[in-house]
Amino acid sequence: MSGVDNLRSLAVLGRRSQQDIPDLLELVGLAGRGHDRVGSYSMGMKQRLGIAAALLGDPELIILDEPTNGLDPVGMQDVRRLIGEIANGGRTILVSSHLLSELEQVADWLIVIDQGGLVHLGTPESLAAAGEALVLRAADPAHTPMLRTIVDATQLRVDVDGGDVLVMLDGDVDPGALAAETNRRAHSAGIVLSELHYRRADLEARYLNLVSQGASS
Amino acid sequence: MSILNAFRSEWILLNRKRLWLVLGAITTLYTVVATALAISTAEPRRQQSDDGLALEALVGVGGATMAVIFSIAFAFLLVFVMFAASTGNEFTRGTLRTALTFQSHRLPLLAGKLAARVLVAAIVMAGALVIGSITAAIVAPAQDISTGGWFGLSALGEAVEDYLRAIVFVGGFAVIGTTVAVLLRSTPIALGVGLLWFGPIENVIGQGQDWAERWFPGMVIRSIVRPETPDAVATPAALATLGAYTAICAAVIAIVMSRRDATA
Repeated sequence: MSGVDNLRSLAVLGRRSQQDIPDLLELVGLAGRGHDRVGSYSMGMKQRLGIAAALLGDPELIILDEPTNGLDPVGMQDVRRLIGEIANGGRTILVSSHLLSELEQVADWLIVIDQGGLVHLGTPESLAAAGEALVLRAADPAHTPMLRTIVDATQLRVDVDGGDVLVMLDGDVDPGALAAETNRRAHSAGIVLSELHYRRADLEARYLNLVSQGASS
Repeated sequence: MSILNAFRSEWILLNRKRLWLVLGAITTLYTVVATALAISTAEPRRQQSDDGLALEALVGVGGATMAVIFSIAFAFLLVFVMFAASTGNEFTRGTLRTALTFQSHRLPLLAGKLAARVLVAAIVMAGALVIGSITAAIVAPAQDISTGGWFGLSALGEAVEDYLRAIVFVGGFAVIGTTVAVLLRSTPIALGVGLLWFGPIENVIGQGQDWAERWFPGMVIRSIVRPETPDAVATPAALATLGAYTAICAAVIAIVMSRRDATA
């Protein structure tokens, strides 16, 4: 059967309008392939056809379960772009996924569930900043111990990884202000920094931290 | 209303040129070959084996369609396989689950789909009856079979009756195939169970057993399309038994569909 037949069949089943089908195929990038057999579609095209089916009847809420599952990188990118376009059109999209890097790219609100319980509700940024760090490196490696002594004064956890001094941030610290203060102190102590940057933890690290906190409490 | 929507939805999927071409080609090939073979191997009644057609029956009114229905009866496994596979694939491919997100009433959904499939089969049966009758009319003279009784109003009445028998035959195997597929949710396993039951169990264990002829579903359904065979169950009794089996199948489907998830 063709993609168009598939959508027509579902529209009839759900008593939804068939007039939107050409526009929906256009939206999901299947305008030229609507009358081809679904069997000849790639995995990504089938996934986009499924999204078009979900859009039949112009729903306000769309639930997508693992929308990029089994897709190649190009297919994943297509689906992410499509989710963004649909969301920009004013609809709410609930994406269920275990691919946190994917959610980080498409979601503006996260619901984190662990072992059947809600562990987080909010923006991706509002997840605890565990794993985020200020990374410093002295131009002269001999100054690394002195640099460590300076940042120890921040009362934050400090790790040394090779020549890098890592100041682990918590949720209350402003990384910009801390970087400025640390740079000023290092300069006063005669230490030239060859590197000073803020390393943002990815969603996966923050999720793991959140879940481990829940498990230990 | 839900059943009607499910029927129309399934009809959109089935009513495709490609499907009709494939079904048409298979039906034409099968009907022509099987009808020609049935007529060419027909024997006088005293020599007739259990599996053959009687020459005397062919000569009478409705002889042409009788030959066709006789041929169709041998396609019972094909009918079972088609219906079991189409329902089993709904589970394994997730199309039933998708359909349920558009129409959540499970039983009307399944009933509508089954009705659309039976309608396709009914159209195919009508085509088979026409093609088979033409084949019979061409082959019969070569076998010295008189076709004088094959034409006229009474022959048309016989043809209609034979057609209705064919529909009951298809409907019976459709319900059984669908029930087995709903129970097992797997096309290969459903086909395996069906082949085992309608093959060795019915035809070896049930061979020559009166109780088997009376109660084994495959044998009861075949009695309806082959009422002329000596061991056939009388049509009213066969219809009543089939009606009871259909009610049981409907109850089984209703229980299974309402209590289990719709995934494979």
